[in-house]
Amino acid sequence: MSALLEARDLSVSFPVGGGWLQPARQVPAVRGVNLALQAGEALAVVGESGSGKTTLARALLGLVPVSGGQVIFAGQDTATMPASARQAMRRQVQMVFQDPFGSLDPRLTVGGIIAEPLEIHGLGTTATRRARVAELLGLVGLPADAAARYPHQFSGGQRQRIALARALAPAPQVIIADEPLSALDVSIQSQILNLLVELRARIGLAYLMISHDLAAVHHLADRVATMYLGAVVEVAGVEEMFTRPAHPYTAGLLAAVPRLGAGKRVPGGTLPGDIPSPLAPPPGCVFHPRCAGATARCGQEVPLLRPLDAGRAVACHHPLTGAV
Amino acid sequence: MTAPLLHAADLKVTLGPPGAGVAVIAGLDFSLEAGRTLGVVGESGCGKSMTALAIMGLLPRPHAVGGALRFNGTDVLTLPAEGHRRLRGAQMAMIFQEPMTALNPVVTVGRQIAEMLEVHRATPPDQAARQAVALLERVGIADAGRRATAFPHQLSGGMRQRVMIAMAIACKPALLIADEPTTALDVSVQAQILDLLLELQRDEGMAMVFISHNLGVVSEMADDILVMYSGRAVEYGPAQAVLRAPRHPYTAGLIATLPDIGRRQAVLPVIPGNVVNPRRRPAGCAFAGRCAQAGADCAAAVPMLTPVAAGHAAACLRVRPAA
Repeated sequence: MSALLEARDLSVSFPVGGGWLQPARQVPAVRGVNLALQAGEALAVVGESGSGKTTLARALLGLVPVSGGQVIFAGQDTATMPASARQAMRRQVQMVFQDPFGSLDPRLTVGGIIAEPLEIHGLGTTATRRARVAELLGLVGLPADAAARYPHQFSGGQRQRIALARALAPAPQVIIADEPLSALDVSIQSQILNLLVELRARIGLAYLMISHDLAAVHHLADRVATMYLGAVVEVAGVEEMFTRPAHPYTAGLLAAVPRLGAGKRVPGGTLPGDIPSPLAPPPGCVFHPRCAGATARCGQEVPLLRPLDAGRAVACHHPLTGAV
Repeated sequence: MTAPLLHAADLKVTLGPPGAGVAVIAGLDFSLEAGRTLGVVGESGCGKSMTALAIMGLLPRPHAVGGALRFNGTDVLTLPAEGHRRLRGAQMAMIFQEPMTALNPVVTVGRQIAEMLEVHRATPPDQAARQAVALLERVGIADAGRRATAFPHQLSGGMRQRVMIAMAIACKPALLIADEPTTALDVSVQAQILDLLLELQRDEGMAMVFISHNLGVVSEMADDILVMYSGRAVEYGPAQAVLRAPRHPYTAGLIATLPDIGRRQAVLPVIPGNVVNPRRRPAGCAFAGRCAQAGADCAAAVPMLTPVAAGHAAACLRVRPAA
């Protein structure tokens, strides 16, 4: 199996501060990430805000400049690929954003919004595009007459369906979805989650889903990567990850998910502290100040992401072995 | 039985000018005793935040209110603005979803906390400043003396929420209203803030109205749960009873739609349709349009909250009342 979209030792940093005669400092947002999305697979990236998951997604799409490493699409380095191949990649990799209110042009009709990527990529004629828009609206569960209306006439859940239809328009192989549920009402989230599962089964899409909602990740993903302060600290199949997390950070995130009907909360046992500033990362394992199992070694030596067992890798000197 | 700390009887709130208003709360009853937590659950537009603002006397103007809302025996709906201002901060306090918009960006956090004590307790400024540092320590902020001189933007989201909590508990209120206090936070920081609220409640004995759309969070925090839909209560009762044996189709539907870690389903059950707009609330049961069990009788009249078990009530014609 070959990877469709791959980050190889990928790093992204952003300049901060600086001014006249004073050079800007570089904040590392993504640090040496190796992660491959296979065709047809659903890979989720989880982690707290500031873990670099959104920046990783944007770097894979080419929306932010890469400061180190490579993005490989269908075996080709995107930095050196010819313009035609890059254009093809832009068609093959589409994005769905968190905010369905901010991500749709309010001045275009829904039909215009969905047809726009087809026009940009020169796909079809005016008539075939119109037919394609109707087909896509049906696919995402919207009535055909929605094409003539404007985004403000739709609810949040319906707008997220419109955003999905737009992403699906040029028949991509990959959809990158950044928190696609978090702006929606609870009763609407399951509708969109079901739609994502159904579309994948029907079209054979690959998903890269960025989410902090671990229950939604568990429902949708085949594989999960946990990020912390710009680096991947654990990758595993979804069931392994959720039943036997190997990295203490993954275990801490899972333990923090509120459980329904389990009785009132008993304080204690929560992951302490905040994600540190990327400008002043702790020495050794960057997670060690928050880790209950940290030893002297963890404060000195950076743990590398290494294979643990089948399909599973962890960056920890003392990986957990028990079930949760 | 002692009188409850907070009691709503047929509470109604209409926003907007007379004749053109929207009934955002259309008749709500609940009560909360000292030291306990009422979880208020519902989706956007159900009226849960407006309930909080009605208690606090902060409803947007113009508005009209009806029914009664008693806090410590006083009907706060008829209270003059000055009287409500004295209650606020001193006896009842509120924390919000996004502390950045609730904190003053150009005043240090220590000063903002001290101001609470100066205004409500007439504490001298130097003493108030010392108490502000102690309060920051109380809410788990390390190096509180230095953090007191920080501006809100210099703190993380979790720390800003801790500052909000410090301000809210400064005058030891009898009631704390928390409106989606952890929605903007990561799960790890959310767990820290929930722990902090429970510890403060245990130590200070304050009652809490905990508003959230997240059923898991409410399950971990509440003694009783009020499920709201389109301005009314559809289910009300002891938290674990409501969550483990929901009786209203909306509550049952909300619980069923949640993906459950540990039990992966091929297709999640859904509640069809969208949340009803309060401007277009139908006569009869507002949920009927999305309900699989609805019949013609559901559109005829608004179902009353009917007891189904001890302390547990649901507003649905399909629910068999308790014997």
